[in-house]
Amino acid sequence: MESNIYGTGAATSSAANTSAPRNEYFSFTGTGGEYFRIWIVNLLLTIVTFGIYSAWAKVRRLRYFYGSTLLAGSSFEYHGEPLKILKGRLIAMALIIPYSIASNFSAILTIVFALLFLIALPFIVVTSRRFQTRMSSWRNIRFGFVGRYGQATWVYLGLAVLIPLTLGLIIPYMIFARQRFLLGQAKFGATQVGFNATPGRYYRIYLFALLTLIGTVVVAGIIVAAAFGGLGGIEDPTMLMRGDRAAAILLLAAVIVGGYLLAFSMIQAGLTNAAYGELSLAGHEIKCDVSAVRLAGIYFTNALFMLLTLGLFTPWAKVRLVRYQLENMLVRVSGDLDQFMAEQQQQISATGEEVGDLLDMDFGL
Amino acid sequence: MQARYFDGKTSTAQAVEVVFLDDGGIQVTGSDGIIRTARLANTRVSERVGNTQRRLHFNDGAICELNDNDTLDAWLTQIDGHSVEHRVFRLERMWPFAIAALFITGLVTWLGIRYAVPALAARAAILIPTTVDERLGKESLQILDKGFLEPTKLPQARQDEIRADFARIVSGVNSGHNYRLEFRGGGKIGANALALPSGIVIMTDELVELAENRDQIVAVLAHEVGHVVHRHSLRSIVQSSASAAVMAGVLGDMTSISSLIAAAPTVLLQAKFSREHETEADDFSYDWLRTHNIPTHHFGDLLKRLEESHGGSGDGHSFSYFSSHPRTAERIRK
Repeated sequence: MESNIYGTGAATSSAANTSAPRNEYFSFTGTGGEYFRIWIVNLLLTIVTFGIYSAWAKVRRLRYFYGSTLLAGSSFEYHGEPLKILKGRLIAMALIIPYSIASNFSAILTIVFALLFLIALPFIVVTSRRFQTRMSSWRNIRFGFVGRYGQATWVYLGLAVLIPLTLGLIIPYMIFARQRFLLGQAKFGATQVGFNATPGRYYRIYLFALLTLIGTVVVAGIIVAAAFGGLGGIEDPTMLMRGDRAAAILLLAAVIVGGYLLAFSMIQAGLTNAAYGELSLAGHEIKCDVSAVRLAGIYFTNALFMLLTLGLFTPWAKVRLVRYQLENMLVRVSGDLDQFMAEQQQQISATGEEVGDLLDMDFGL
Repeated sequence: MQARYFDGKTSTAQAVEVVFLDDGGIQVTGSDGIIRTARLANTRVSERVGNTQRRLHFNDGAICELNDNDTLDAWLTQIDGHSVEHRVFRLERMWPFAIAALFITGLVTWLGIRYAVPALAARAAILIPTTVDERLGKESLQILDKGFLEPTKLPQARQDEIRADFARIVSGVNSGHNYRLEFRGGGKIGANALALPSGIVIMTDELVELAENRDQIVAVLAHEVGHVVHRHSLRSIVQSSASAAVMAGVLGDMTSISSLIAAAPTVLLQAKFSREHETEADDFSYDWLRTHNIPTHHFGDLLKRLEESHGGSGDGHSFSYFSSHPRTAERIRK
C-alpha cells in the first residue's frame, strides 16, 4: 500500500496540526484554455437550443469555477440542478416580459410594476441568497443563510431612502450594511460566519476613491487649460478633433480613463478586502489582500485583449480575475478544519435565485 | 484509487481507498476496514467538468472526493455508466471541436444580425401603424430648426414651382403618411435633403442652387419620399435594438466592458444597413423617374455635383466602411 497524499492515518486531523496557527491558501486550478472550451460549447448549445440549454450552461460554468477553487485539498461544489434552474428562469421570464411590454404603453403600469418590484426586493434578495448559499458546499458541508426579510427591507430599501436625505453620505454605510447582511448572516454548516469589518473602513475606501477622481479632474483641467486656454477655448466639439492638438487630446483621454479606472479599482479592491478580509468562522480567520493597482492592470489588459480579439479573450479574462482574487485570499487556521458540523437539510425553490439572476443582480460570492 | 471520504455530518476527512468492481459495485475501505459498499445504481456520480474534483454521492448523504478523473471515466465506460451530459464533456475536451464551435457560433450570430434582423425588422415595420412614424418625426423638425437650419431665402415663386413637383410625386404614393415639403437655409449642413419619418421632406436652399434644372430636384425629392415610403427610420430603430439584443444575448455572461466590444461590430453593421436603405431609396427614385419619362441621369448628375460640393474628389469613389451612403459611382450606374 503506497502512502497516499492524504496521509496514511484514518483521519487527517492528527494532533500535530493543532499546535500553531497556520495559513491555508486558496488556490485556483482552472485555466483559460480549459474554460474557453466549456464556454464556447455552452454558447453554441445555448444558441442551437434557443436558450433552453442556458440552465445547463450555468451549472457547468459554476461547477467549473467552484470545482477549480481549492482549499486544504478539497474543492468547493456547486449543487444547482439544471431542470430546476430552467423552471425558475421560465417563471422569471413570465414575470418580466409583461412588465417590459406594458412599460412601452402605459406609464402608470410601469410605476405599478416598479413599486411591486421594490416591495418584492427584500424577498428576492433573501430567497436568492439562501438558494445560492445552500447550493454551495465544501467537504460535503453546505453553506446557508439565515438573514430575515425585515433586515433585508432595512438594508435594501430603508437605507436607500436615506440617500437623498443625507446627500449621498449614507452610501458607504449602506454598502457596509449590505455586505454585513449578505456575509454576516451566512453559515457554513451549523457555524455562523462572523463579519468584523467596520463602517469606517468603507468610508475610507470611498474617500480615497473620491480623492483620486478629484485629482484626475484637476489634472485634466490643467491639460485643457494648457492646450486650449481654458474650457472656454473649446467652442465646439469639432475642436477636439484637430490634429495639432492630438498629443494633448490623447494625454487627456489617458488621464481620464486611467483616473476613472484607478478609482473604480480602488473601490472594487477595497470592497473585496473589506468583505472577505475580516471574516471569522469558529476561531479561524479569512484574510484577503487584493491590490487596487494590480486589479486596475488586470481590468485594463483584459479589456484591451477582449477588444483586440472581439470578445474571444473573455474566458481567459474571467479566469485571470478569479485567480488573482483567490490567490490573495487565505484562511488563518487555528486548530484544524475538521470540526465543522452540518446543518439540517431544507428545501429551497430555485425561483428566488433565478429571478435575481435574470434581473442581473449579483449578491457576491 | 485513493480518495477522501466525508460523511456529511462533519468536515472531517478520512483517507480511503475506493475499488470499482466490474459488476457496478463500489467498495470504500478505510484504515479500519470496509466503510461501506454501494452500487452505481444508487450512487450519484458528479459530472466531469474540465479536470475538477469529482464526487461519489452516496444515498445517505456521504461523499467520496476523487482526484483521478481518468480512472473513474474508464470504469464508467467499461460498465456503460456514463450519463448523457458526459457527451458534452467529450465535446469540451476536443480543441478542434471548440474551434469549430467558435466558427459556427460566430457565423450564426453574424448571419442572424446581417440578414435575419433586417428581414424581421422589415416585416415588423409592416405591422406597426404609420401613426408611430408620425410621432417619431414630430419633434425632429424643431430640433433641426433650433440647432442646424435657418429660415429659407428662396423666392416664393421658386418654392411654389418645386412644391408643385413634390405634389406630383406624392399624389401617386399611398403610404398613409402626411407628406409636406419644407424649405430651409442649409446653414452648417449645406446642400442637403432630409426625410423625416412622419412624411416631412426638408430641402435646403443650397441644394436648390446646386441643381442645374427642375428634373434634378425632382429626382432628389423622389429619393427622399422613397425613404418615407419604405419606413427606413422605423426599420433602423428596430434593427439596431434587435441587433443589440442579439449581441447581448450571445455575449451574455461577460463583464460590462464587453458592451463596448459588442458595439463595435454593430456600428459597422448599422452603417452597412444605412447604405442598403439609401440604395432602396435610390431605386424608388429611379423607378419614379422612369415611369414619368424623365431621364434617369439627372439623379446621377446632381449626386456628382453634391459630392464635389461636400469636398469629395468628384470621381465618385470617396468611401469608407463607416459611410452611411454607398459610393456615388455605384449610385449613378443605374
